[in-house]
Amino acid sequence: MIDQYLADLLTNVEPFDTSLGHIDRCLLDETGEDYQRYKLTEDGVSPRAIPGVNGFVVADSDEHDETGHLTEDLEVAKAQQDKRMRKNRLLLDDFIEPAFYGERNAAKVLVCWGSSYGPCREAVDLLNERNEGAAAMVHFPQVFPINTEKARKVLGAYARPAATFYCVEGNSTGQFADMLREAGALIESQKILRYDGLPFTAKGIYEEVCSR
Amino acid sequence: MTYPQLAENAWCPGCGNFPLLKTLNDAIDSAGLDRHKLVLVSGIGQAAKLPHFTYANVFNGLHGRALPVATGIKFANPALKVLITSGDGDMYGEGGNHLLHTMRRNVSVAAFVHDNQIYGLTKGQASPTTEEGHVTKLQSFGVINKPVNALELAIANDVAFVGRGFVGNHENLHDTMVEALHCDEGFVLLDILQPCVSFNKVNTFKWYKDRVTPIDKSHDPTDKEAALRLARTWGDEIPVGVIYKGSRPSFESRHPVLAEGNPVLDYDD
Repeated sequence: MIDQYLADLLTNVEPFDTSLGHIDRCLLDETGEDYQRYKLTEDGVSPRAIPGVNGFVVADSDEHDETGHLTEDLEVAKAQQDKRMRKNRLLLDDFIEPAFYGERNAAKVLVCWGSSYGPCREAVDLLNERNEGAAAMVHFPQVFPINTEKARKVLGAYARPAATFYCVEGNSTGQFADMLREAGALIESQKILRYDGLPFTAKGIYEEVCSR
Repeated sequence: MTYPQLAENAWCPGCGNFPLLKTLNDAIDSAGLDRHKLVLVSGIGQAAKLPHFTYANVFNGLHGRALPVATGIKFANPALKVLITSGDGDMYGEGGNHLLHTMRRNVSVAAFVHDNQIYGLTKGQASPTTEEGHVTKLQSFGVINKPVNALELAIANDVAFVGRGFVGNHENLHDTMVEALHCDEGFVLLDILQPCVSFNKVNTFKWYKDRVTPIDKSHDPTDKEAALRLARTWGDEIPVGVIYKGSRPSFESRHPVLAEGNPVLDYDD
């Protein structure tokens, strides 16, 4: 996940590893003339081809049948929506587990996503230097859909039983805190929000946690 | 070959899109195009549904956004023939900015604009080509804006091909389409007059029939001034046929990466 803060940031980094190896584009090399772009399958994923093959590749923004052509058939519409939602299960299975940083048995746990990783990590270091009860953070590289079991495991693994969780977010309502609650992954949390148009700083997060 | 099942057609009986579809099917075959290498792209509207009623690859996306998608398809795989079939509202209204810049870039895609001078899908509001004074249920005091002249804009941008057709003249429209489809280098704009029998009671089949005149064979399409005069001719006489042919290089031929090869076909797994 990237935003303007990361895009504007200048820092020295080790050269990126560009040897990604084989990238599976999940493309069919050959298709029959009966190719269907939106074929109903058990896991919801239809075989993927690009235009230029033997079959026609048809994509539509309105509801469509398995071929991709427009439909107003109510049963076909439901079948396509059910197919789309079956893909949700795969996304949950492939959930990217949150990353943990800081002290085990922490009393204060920052919960964040996206570009607040850096400021939160520095804030955890500041809190631990002050040594007022161990601090830690949990960073979510994937914010949706949330695999409740995997999210709870990481959130609970290192926090002490009565730990305070702070959802650190660059918006005015704490959208991710609400999503975590809806998923049953984190029910009780405080919100540290910044929405004046500037990104978080470590010092700002640190002072906010200390003031509560 | 076995063709997939097509969508059920919901155009009104007598719709000008029917003869347009028939002529287009004939023209695609006459031009010798391989339908498996043809991608039809459209936005939203009754015209934009055309790709669902014929055999080709299809991307029917968002309102006014046919051209950015068509551009992307052409750049990803220049070996494909990319044809946009969408309406005057979608292409000149919602997609007006995209049209301007696709013409300026001279991307090698062809746009066949079904021009019925009205918003048909939404039941009869003024479109960018509705004539001044035309009373609609929304423009109840009559249209106060000057219609856009897309042909003039296209010639000013020096695109590869500019033409006009009328669905009531099958032969002329067919031949103009074939010539437009044979143009592979640069942007193609073909404005096709196509009556909306339900929501445009002004520009009817008869209205067009009385005015549409095939362009004289003596016209030289490379003569920009003569082309502009034809593009501006609208009233008692409406010229149809090939209006302008430009010779400016296409975007792809000048782009350093695209000039090297085909991003999709030459992609190394």
